[in-house]
Amino acid sequence: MIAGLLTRLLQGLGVMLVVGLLAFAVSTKLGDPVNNMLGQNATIEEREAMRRELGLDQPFVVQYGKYLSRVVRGQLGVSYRLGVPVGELLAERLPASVELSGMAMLLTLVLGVPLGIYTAIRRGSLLSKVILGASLAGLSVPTFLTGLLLIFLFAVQLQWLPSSGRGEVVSIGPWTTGLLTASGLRSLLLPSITLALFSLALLLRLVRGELLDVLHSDHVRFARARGLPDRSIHFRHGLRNALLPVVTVAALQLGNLLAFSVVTETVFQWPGMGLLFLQAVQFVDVPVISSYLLLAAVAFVLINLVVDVSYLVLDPRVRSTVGRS
Amino acid sequence: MSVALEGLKVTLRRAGGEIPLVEDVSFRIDPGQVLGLVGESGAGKSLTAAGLIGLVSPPVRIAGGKLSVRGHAVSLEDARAVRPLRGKAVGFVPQDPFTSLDPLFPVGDQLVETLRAHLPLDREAARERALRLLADVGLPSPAERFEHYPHQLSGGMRQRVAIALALCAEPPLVVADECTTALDVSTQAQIVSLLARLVEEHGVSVLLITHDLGVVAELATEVAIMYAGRIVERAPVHRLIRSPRHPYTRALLEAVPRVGGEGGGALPAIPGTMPRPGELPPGCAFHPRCPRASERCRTERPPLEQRGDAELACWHPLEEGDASEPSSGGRGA
Amino acid sequence: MGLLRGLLEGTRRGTRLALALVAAYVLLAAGARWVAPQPVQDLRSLDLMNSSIPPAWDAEGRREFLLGTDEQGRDVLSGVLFGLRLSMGVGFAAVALAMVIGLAAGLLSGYRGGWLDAFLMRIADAQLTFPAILVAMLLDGVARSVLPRSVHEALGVPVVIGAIALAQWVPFARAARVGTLVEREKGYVQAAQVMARPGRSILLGHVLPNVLGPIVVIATIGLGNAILTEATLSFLGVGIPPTSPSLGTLVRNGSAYLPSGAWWMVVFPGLALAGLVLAVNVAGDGLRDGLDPKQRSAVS
Repeated sequence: MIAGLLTRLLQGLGVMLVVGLLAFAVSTKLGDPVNNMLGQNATIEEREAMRRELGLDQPFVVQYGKYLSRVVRGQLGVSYRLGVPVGELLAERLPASVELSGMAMLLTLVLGVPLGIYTAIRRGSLLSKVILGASLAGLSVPTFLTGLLLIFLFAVQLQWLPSSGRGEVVSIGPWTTGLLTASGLRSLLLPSITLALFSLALLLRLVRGELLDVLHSDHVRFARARGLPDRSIHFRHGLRNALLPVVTVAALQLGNLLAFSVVTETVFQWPGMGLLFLQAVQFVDVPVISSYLLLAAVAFVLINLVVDVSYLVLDPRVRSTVGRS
Repeated sequence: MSVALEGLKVTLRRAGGEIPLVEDVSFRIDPGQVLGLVGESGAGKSLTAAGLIGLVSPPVRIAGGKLSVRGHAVSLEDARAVRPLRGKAVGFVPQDPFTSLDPLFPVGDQLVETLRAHLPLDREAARERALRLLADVGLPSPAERFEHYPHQLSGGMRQRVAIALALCAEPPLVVADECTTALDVSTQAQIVSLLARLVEEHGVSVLLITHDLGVVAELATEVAIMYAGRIVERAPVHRLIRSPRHPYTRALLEAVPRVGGEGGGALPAIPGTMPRPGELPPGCAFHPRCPRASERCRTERPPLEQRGDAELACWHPLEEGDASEPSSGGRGA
Repeated sequence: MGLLRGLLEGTRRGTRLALALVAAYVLLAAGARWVAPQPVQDLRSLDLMNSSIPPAWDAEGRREFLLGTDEQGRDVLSGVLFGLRLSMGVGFAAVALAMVIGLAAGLLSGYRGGWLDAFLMRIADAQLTFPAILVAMLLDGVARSVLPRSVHEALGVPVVIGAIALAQWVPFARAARVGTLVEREKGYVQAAQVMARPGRSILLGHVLPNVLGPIVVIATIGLGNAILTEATLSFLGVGIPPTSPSLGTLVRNGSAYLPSGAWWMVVFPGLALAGLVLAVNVAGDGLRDGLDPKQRSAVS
């Protein structure tokens, strides 16, 4: 068990190293950093000086090593586009993205799980059919369209909610939060709904599918035959078994949320890392691109690790073997 | 008090109408008696068991039947009336011990849960009772096994736990649905003797569903043979085995390989297959495969008739001592 | 084709309706050149005097522009039709490419086994954690910086197709691999090997028919995703170069005018897109149900 976790950890590190290598290759080979920083009219001497300063005359492996050591210390280079250290940029944008993704994840879980359960237990009801139909629509409408339509309805026509930005934010130490102000919360509403819609629909259908499967399984049948009360069958024996794969997918959804936050942040001009990444891709701002990739890799590896640990906690079949039988 | 089932009918709703899957099944089991319900796959044995406690879901439904337990008659069509029977009046032992226990909870937990669902017990009392039940079904070191998860137990142990679960509320009727089929031969033997002991000690009525005639011979007091959703013969076990009356029964008995019999020659297989629900031939359902079929068999379905302490549905039953007559269309397939 | 009939037989009316809708979309899109009232790609046909006209049923609308026009005088209906053609074309191509790559990888992986199998599966696992959008964005960024502008524009469509395909090949590979492994265990493959038939024909002959069902389901789901991904990439500006706009590009262009109330530039392309993906999703759902053993045991 511990051995399993360790291998996973090592695998994760491996993935990160590979991504790091890719990021590094991208950052040095793609485009010409010297050109980007000095412009077309620099002289040869200035270029040479810059090359030496950036360490571009050293062998690849050495450069990579230096790159790694810099990364570990949080020095991720300087943005071509903005001329600001990437680390600062990321730190500045992180809270916005985290709050947006966090809220979207919350919505996904709080709405997705109960609705999924309901549509599984009350299979034929009208409400279930409506919910399922809506979920299908939710999976078919692209995130950007949802955002635009919500903006059109609530911001342009009804003028109830803002159409862009974070509203007023409060700084707590290094973190800026929009959760403590009315305008901040109002600004968070439409973007998080937009971001959550797809994941919500997906999770809902998944929970329903898994629960339906479990409810037809042998052990649930036996539980029924023993005369256990419905509540016990549905929740204790049904849901707990259905939750295992759901946890995995929910965690992976976090990854999707991170990706789709790019779209949502664009539509709502939300000052987060997703928007930063998009602008970096358009501008070919290599340091930002590679640093964002590294950060994404770290996030995904962590998420996967959390999922593995959760399996340990939730499924006794995975847990055992040491001693016992 | 005896347990009696009257006229169980289970149907399947399909495009074009409702097809009977099980029809007109009735029996009566006295305390301490075991009725073996035998038949090929698809004859409707498991559906009968499920029908008894309402464990069917659309498009299958229970179209009729009355179950009398503890002097109380319940109409099986009424789902709400059937629910309280589960566990309390009818205990159920499932077929597959590997998949029937919830893998996420220790077995002791599952016992306590079932006990407290039916009896007014607090945790401590329930736990003690559960431990006693586990010892009763012959589970080694019950106190230790109490905390174990199903996947940590062997197949035989799991089946013992399943039996314990069925007995939690001390129901007068226990339905064992092919509960030895998923086990290996030696474990099977252990479970069979456990069941025999429990029947004697607790005085329950048992409906033993199986396709294994060997188990029936050892455990049952009476046997009912099912074919195409109906009972075609019922008799005390030894008489049925010694001199079956229904040609199908005899064919079934002959198909069982015997140790020490004449070597060589193929096992007599019954030619043809059992008709599927909705595709029953007119008259007696068995007539296409029966060597004694006459014109009457082809047009008129023989009713299940009482003959002393047995029942039979056949126009041309075998007489006592008809062992010399060929039983099926030919040996081998 | 027996498979297709088998799939269709088990399906409900809703699924068949959805499939019919998809077919209708395909026909419309394929015939865009003849159906569309205005050849929007021909810049000479545009007249700035026609800019930003609302749909025909609005007071200020005109009948020749049924769904209105955009800020450059382009007919929205025509734009949608051509955009559909592009979106669907890219979607189909991407899924087809993903299928080819996935099948090849999966068949190879399952048949050869060993280190090749382990290697390919590691890549597949790792790739699954990275969402398609990011992968596609990254690839586009790489292409953008490596290729000179004109080349990048000319190659715009293939790059996007490639990027989406690369993000989608894994489920195909998995299905093909499983199918191959299952078939490998079966006796007749070993028998054929003994008779020295070449490996490839064994595979193709036995594995493909069995795997075809799940592959079709994966393909329909993948199609919906591919269309959405392409639209999203175009909306973000990192997809197909705007010279030939896809539905996503149309929404992107129109979104700037949304605050001023010109909703038709966004809503119609958006509806066309959502409708298409919805039809594909419903069809995929239905096909999947038709394939699954409908043996939800009657004895519950």
